[in-house]
Amino acid sequence: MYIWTSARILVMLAALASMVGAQPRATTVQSNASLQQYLRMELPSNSPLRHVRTDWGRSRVVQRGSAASAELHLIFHFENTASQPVHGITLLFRTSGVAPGGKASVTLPGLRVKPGEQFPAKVDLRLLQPVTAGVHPSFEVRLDGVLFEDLSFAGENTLNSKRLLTALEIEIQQDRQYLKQVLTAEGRNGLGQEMRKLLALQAELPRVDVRWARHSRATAMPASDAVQFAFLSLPNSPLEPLDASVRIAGHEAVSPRMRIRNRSSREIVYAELGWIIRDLDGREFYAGTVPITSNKLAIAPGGEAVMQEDNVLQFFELSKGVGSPREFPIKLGEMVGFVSQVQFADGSIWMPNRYASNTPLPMRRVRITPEQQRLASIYLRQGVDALVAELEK
Amino acid sequence: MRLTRHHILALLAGGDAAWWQRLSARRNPQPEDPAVEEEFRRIREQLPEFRDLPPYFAWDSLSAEMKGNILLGVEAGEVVRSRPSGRAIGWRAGFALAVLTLLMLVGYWGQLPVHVHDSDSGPQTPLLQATPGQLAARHRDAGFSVLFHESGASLELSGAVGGVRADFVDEETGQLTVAHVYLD
Repeated sequence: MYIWTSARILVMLAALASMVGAQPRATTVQSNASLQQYLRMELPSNSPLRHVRTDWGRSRVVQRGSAASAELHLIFHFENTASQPVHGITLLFRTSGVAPGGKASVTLPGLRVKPGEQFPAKVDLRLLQPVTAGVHPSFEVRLDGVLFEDLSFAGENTLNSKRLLTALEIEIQQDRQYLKQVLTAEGRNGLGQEMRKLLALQAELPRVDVRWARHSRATAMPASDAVQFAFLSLPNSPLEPLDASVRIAGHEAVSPRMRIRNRSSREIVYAELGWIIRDLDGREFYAGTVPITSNKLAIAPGGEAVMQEDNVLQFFELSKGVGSPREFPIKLGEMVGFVSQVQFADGSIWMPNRYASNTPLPMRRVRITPEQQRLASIYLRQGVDALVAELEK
Repeated sequence: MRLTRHHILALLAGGDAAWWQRLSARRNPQPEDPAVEEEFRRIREQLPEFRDLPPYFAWDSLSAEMKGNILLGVEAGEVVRSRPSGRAIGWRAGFALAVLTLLMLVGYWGQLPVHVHDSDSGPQTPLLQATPGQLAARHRDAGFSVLFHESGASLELSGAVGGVRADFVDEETGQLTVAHVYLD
C-alpha cells in the first residue's frame, strides 16, 4: 500500500503550482478603473436618454505575448427622459487607436420603455491590438438614434438608424398585432397552437447566409445566360418590378438586372429586395434582403429606373446542431424576388404586411421574423400566460 | 563551582592549577594536616611513573573499541527512541488528491483566454467576418468585434460591401438585437 504523507502531497502540489506558474500565461486586468480607459461615452445634452450607470460584468483586459485584448461585457443602464415611450435605440461604437479603423453598432428594437423608466442595454465588445503598436485602443460610445412609440426619431442618424429601427418596429408591430388577433379570436389555446406551429416551422426551416459582393466571384464556374426571375406581386407596393434577369453559376447569382417603376406619389430614395430561392432539389429558402442598389437611389413618382451592377449574390446553407455551423453552397435552381422595404424622400417607410389576406403565401412560409422567434422563446420557456403578458405591453 | 583547598592542593600537586591559584598558594602558605602533607608528598614522588603510558598499552585498539561502543549506543538509541510518526493517508485518498490536482490544472488552463489570437497571423488586408458568435473587423493582429450569444436558430447573418450584420435574440436577456460592424 502506498503511503502518502501530507507533507509529500503538499510538496507535490507546490511543484505542480510552480510548473504551472512557469508557463507563459496571460496577464489579466479586471479592475473597473483599468477598464474604463477602453470606453468613452458621450451623450448630447439634449439626449432623450440619461446614462444612469454601466455594469462592467466579466469585462477584462488580457495581455498575452505581444497582443492585448480588451473584452468588454457591458450593461448600460439608461433612463427614458422623453415624454413618450421608447421603442428602440441604436448605440454607435467608433474605434480609436485600433487598426483597422471602423465602427460597430448595436440596435435594440422592440423596447417598450415608458417615460421615467430605466432599461438595460447589453453589449459585448472586443478590442485586439499589438502591445508594440504603442497606441491605446478604445471605443467611443454615442447614441445614434432613439425611436419613439409614434415612430418619431431623435438622434444623429449617422448609420441610417432611423430606417433600420422603423422597419424593425413595423415588422414587430405586425407580428404582435397578428398574435393579438389570434388571442382575441381563439383564446389562449389558439395562441398556444399558433406558437407551436411557429416552433415547428423554426425547427424545419434551413438557415441561409447570403453575401453580397462587388466584382468578386468565388467560383470559376461559367455563368449561365441571363434568365428571367419572378417577382412576388405584393398588394400596395409602391415599387413595381417590370422585368428582371440574372445569370446563375452554382451558388452565385451574377449581375442581377431589373427595371422598376415608382407607382407612388412620392420620391423613393431607398429600396430592398427579399429573395426566396429554390435549389436544384426543389427546396425553398428565404435568403434575406439586400439593398436594390449600392448607389444613391432617387426615383421620381411615376418614374422608371434600371438597376444593373456588377454584383454577385452568394447563397450558403448553414448546418444546424451543436458547435459552429458549417456552410454549404446552395445550387441555385430558381430565384423569386419581392420588394421588402421602400423608403420615401420624406423618411417614411413602406413594408409589405405579411399577414394581409392577399399577401402571397411564400412570404409567410419561408421566414420566421426575429420578433416571432423572441415571442416563441417566451412561450417555450415561460408558457402562454407570460406570452399574453408580453403581448399586452 | 567553588573549589576547596584540598582540590586546589591536588591541582597544585599535579601542576594543573591556574596561575592565580599558584600565586595565591605561594603568598599564603598555610599549615596543613601532617597526614595530608605526607600523602601529597608521596603522590608527588610517584607522578613521574604515570607520565608515560605503559609499553603494553594498545592505544589504537582502545580507540577503535571506544568508537564501536559509541556507534552501537547511537544505533540502539534510534531503535528504542519514540518519535512522532507522520500523518499517513491511504492510497485512495492520495489518488483522490491527485485527481483533484489534475482537475485544478485543467480548470486553470480552461480559464486561459483562447480568443486572443484567432490564428497565428491575422489577415494581411482588412477583413470583415460574420460568424456565429461574433462580427469582426480584422487586419493582421489587430481588430475589433461585436460578440453575441445567440439562442440557436434565431441567428441571421448577412453582409454587404463595407459591413456585416447579425440579427439575433440574446440568450441572456431575451432581447431582440441587431449588430453591425463596418470598416472605414
